[in-house]
Amino acid sequence: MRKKVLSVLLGTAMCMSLLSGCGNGGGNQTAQSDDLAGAAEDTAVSESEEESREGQDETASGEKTTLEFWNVFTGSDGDILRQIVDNYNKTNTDNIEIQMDIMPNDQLQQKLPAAIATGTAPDLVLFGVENIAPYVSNDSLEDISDFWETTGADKDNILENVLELSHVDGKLYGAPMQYNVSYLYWNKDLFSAAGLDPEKAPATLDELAEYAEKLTDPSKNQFGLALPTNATYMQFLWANGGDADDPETNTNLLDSEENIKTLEWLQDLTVNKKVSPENITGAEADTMLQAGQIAMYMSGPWQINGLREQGINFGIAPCVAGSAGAFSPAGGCSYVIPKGTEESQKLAAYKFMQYWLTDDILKEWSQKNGFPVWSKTLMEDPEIQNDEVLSSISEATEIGRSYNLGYSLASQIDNDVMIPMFEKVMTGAASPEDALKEASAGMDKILAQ
Amino acid sequence: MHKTRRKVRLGEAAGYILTLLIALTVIVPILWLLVSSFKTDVGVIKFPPRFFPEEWTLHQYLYVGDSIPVFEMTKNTVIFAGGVTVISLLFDSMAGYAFARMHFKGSKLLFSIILLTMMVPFQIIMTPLYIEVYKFNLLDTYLGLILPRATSAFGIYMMSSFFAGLPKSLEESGRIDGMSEFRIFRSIMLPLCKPALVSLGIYHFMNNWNDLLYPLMLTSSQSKRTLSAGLAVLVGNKVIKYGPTLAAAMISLTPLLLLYIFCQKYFIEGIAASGMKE
Amino acid sequence: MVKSIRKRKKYTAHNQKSAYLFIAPSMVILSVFVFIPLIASFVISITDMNIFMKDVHFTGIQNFIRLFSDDRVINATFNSLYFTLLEVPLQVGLALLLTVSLAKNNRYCKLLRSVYYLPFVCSMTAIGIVWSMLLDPNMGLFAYWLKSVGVETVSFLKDPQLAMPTVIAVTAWKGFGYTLTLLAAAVLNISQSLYEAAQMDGAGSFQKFIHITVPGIWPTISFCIVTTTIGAMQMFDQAYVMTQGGPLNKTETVVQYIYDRGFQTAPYDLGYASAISVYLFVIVAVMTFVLRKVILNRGEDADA
Repeated sequence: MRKKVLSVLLGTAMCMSLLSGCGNGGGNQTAQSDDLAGAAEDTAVSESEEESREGQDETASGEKTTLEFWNVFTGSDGDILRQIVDNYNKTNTDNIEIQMDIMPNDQLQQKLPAAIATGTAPDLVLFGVENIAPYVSNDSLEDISDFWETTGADKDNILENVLELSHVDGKLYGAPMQYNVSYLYWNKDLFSAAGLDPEKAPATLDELAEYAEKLTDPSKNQFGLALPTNATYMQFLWANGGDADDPETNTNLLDSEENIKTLEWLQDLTVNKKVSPENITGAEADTMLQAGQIAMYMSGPWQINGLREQGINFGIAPCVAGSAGAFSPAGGCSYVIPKGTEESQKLAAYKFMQYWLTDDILKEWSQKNGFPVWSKTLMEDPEIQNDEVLSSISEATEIGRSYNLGYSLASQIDNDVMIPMFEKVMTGAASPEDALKEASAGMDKILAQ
Repeated sequence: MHKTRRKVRLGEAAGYILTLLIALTVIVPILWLLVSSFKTDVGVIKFPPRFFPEEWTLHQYLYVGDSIPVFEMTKNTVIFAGGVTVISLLFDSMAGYAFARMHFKGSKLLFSIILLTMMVPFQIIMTPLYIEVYKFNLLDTYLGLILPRATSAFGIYMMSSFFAGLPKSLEESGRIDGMSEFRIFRSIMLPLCKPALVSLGIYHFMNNWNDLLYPLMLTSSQSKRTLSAGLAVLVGNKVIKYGPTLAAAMISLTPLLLLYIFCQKYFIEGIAASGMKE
Repeated sequence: MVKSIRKRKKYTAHNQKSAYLFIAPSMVILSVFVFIPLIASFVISITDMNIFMKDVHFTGIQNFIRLFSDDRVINATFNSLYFTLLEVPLQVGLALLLTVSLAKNNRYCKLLRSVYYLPFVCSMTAIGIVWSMLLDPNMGLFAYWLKSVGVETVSFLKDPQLAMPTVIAVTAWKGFGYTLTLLAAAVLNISQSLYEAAQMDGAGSFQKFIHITVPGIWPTISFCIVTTTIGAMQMFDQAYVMTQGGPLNKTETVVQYIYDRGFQTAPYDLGYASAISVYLFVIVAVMTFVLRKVILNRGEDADA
């Protein structure tokens, strides 16, 4: 009942806008009083939009299918993606044309939900797997569990843990596009200059701290280990046997001795030993790494191209181990289909997803970008095995562990609890105990929802 | 007498030094932006940093040109920003004129309401606006981009401040001649506010030219995207590429700079020469 | 300025009608594209709607109750006020001070006024990137220059205490040229005879500035103060580009927090974000109202 009242209210507001407007309403005026909340009117693609999609006449002749495709691949990996899509447009035999629109992640997150609600969403979207769960819990993505059956793509050739990231509650919502964990990059030249073995990366937390201290030289503006403050460091918590939360049971796992120990260690590194530039952001750390001012840094594979371009002599190693072992937070991107996409468009999108999952394309993507491979046949490929970067990165990927992926509260936990906690610890704004206590209270609040 | 003159001299000298110092703080960063857009990828982030490039290159501009359709986006931006500017100037000055020079019932209330609209951050109305423009079937059209911006509280406020400063005798003569209100506005008042119009016009043009979020929200295809929204794509999601970012900033800045250099004569001198003196 | 105008109050119904016609286009556009979305967001503020706009329920004033016990709202309000109270006087004051030297129409003054206008032409994104790069304590040119003349590394945007002042300085840097242009134009319109009369009375330049210049351009000053204040309370772009609200939320403004709740952090709570918007809207409206009362009164006093 309440909901109805509300939709009437919102609907009225929208109707008013029509009445007071100058009658530009076009063809679908009658539909306007529809409940805004549930508006999935996929029929109402605006005329102008149709005009702008050049050559789109799938209803008329049933031949050419145009897919609108939004993604967040700004920067240089977007160039490579564009080449692959252009090539697909030229060579595919199903008469599919993909129109790609790249936008920054923030803007995509603003536009896409409103677009899905108004039925103006694209047919295909590529974004980070961490977004899948919130979208699914708001019923905004198409269930594509029939993907394997429909296309005949080989599900078993894909690593289980990669595939898992595109699932929510056992249903498939995305086709994997890339997969990665966080790696330890090190600058071999700086290692040599500091008298360390340039071919040997630190393997334990203690070694990491020791090396970081040795590699820090304020007079040269050189830092041993970059630790951006707008990030989380699950790899450290996990290494000592700690954790943040258990998404399966909604349990808060923050308040533990292990975590206090880890945070103390972290505060010692940043506040006392000053191995990292103060209050640095991830983007700035990337830049300093490329400029040769940072000796060690943990980040994803997207660093590789930049480091190559800048001519840095670097190595890639797995994240370091603690008493409980070595782990690294996993992430990736998947192709998803927004809710309300027409069946014919959906099938065309399947075709492109299937194309992406062929070994040729996956190989091209990995080789050009340095992303690890996760297709079983490709992992046997001699060319991949002999690629120094790809083989070391594939090895370092094995310790991947999911941190709240597929959990709809993940971004809130990150933004409201974990990042502030690490920031306070690393800037020395709070003692590890206080920061942890506050974070744990915040976590309780979020998990109680 | 002698003393005061020296004091004046000293004051003047201090004025020169201060103004020149401030000019320096303005010029240095902008000059740095200009020259840095010609640096190589290595040069941009080199440490220790240098002001001028060691090696001048057009690489960054070529990269931008390869990645996005710069010319088409410029065309879109000109249509969008130009359309908004022209229409908004007309509507703003009409409304501003009415509020400043005509007495009508509810004018104070309406004016306050208009001022209120200045206080709404775009982020707040963004989502309802998107749905509204969609309902009008105007998503991804020039009209849909221009119409919501076709008037602005700021412009109305500014124009009414300007009109309020003009001598009353002006429209009296028109009224005596039996001119209609619109003719008084068009042939007597509007020519007088050319400098204010130029200044507001530049303001509108610039704001819309530089706007990122609004055009990005209301366009859904690359063919209607504006320049600043298009250039945002270069910044990079995970890794910032500074070279292309700086080149992109220069590309979107240059047309405005040219326009500004061309127009500044009108409004920096213009306002002074207007009919506001008595 | 000789005030010899008799106020005519004889306005016919015809005048009234044409006045409404004059404001009609603007009113229609503002109603449709600002008011209705605004009302919609007022309605949203009493619901639990998220950006997916599904399963919406009324929640009454719950969002508002939550708002007043949210530390980050309090922190953001403080930051917005801090920003506004320093940025507006800095920008308008600096511009006013510069009119003393630059409100002339010789070549030098015109050239400098044009130069000062330059940053205003640039987008905040470009400005933000340039300044963050220049001020970066580890890689930036300015920090490097400072270091080479022996000044201890200053972290500017990285230091919790210095970040907001730096953002304020950059904002004022971007806008003062625009304010100056408006003010200088107004100063140039003050009749020279007033200055000459004051000169005869033996007034010094400071006295002339206070007693003739400032009252003479008061409407323009008040326009600048009001619009700059409104803009400052909505500050977003600067912090978004340069600090992302950090370090330690010291530069997080109200609009930024709204943006964060509505669009950056799941569950993308548009209802709550709208409630904070309503709260901000009320603050800004009250501030503007008070400011205009104070300034306009002052203006009338000065006029008389």
